[in-house]
Amino acid sequence: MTEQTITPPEKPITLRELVRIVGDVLTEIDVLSTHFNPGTDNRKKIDPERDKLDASQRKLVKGAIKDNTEEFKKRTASIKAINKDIQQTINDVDKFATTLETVVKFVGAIQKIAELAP
Amino acid sequence: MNIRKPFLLFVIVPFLSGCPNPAAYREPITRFQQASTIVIEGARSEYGLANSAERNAEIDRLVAAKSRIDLSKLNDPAIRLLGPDDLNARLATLDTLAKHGQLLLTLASSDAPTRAKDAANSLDDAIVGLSTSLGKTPSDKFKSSVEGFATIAGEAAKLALDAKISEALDKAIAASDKSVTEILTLIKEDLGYLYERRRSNLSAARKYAVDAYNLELDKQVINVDALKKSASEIKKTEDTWDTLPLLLGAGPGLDAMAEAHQKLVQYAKSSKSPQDLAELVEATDAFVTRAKVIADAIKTIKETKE
Repeated sequence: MTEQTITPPEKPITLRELVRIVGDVLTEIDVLSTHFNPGTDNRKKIDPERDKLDASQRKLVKGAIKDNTEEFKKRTASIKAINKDIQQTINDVDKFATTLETVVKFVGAIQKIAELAP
Repeated sequence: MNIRKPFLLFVIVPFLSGCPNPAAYREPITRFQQASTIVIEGARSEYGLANSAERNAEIDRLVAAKSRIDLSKLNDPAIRLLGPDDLNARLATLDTLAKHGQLLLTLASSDAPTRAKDAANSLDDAIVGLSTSLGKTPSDKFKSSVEGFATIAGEAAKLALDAKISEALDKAIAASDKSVTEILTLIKEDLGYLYERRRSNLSAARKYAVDAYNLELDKQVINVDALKKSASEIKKTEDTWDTLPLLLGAGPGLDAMAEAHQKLVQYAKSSKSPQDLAELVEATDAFVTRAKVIADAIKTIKETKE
């Protein structure tokens, strides 16, 4: 008989936790960005994403979003998984294209959450 | 804010228990007051700097992108963390907490009957200002918690004006048990968010500093002075990044204040044995130690604002 392991459901993310994760990603993007000079192709792609993420974090911080609603839980459901994907490549400059792709996905998800602000 | 409550408790204990030696409480009360003042002022500074730090970060971003700067962009409400009404409500809350503490201290002093009126009037004025500010803010957790505190503080002020010293102290204790704790938690949440924005803005500043150096390095003719200047900027931002925990500001102080406050509540409800007092003194001393760190943290935040 094979043993079955039951994975407990992941705890819903809080607004505070979300803001911290966004801050972590912003910091990681900044570190990655310094491998390329401003104006280069890679920077032209990653800089606007950084700006969008920064603006979204500011919206989240303004605090008018309630993190105990179903809508918030729904929109944040994929955040931890996307962040995990980012962590797989963001420290490897040779995997910039993959990182960018995942960052774009992350930024889109965060913008959707920030839209909950009244 | 919390300072007042602890003060009340310290004060109340001798009053209510008929303790023959109020002088024993004087030092812990004074120390608690000093520490609380640092934390309250620290929170006030952080709120005050929040919007200008965002504006400065936006200027840095525009400079790095070699974009035009116009004043309407810099004054766009979207780059403000706190709107004018939200900011006023928070500053008025801190002010009311401070005045409330002052009333408690006065009630605890030997000349309470003659001085209580001034302190109560001062608290009353602060509550009026707070109510006005809250009236302009949308209903949320912050507003409802602060309204609860304002009501109880107002009742304590009225009793003090009526020279009902012991009852005023009772009322202040009642307020301290729940509403102050709630307010401290909300302010701590606020400051936690402000910290995250400081971290993000500082991270961007590190990038701009490195970018400036690398761009200079890639020029066909390198200006050595400009290169050295860029390197100095990198050193500066990296040094600041190393002090990141200090940028937590008054947040950890609010935790310490809440803990010390809880000890005060426990003490007020205890039999006031020497052991109870010793535990209270220990908690107060721990708070003072933390407050000294907070003072350094606030200094760092003010220095890194630029």
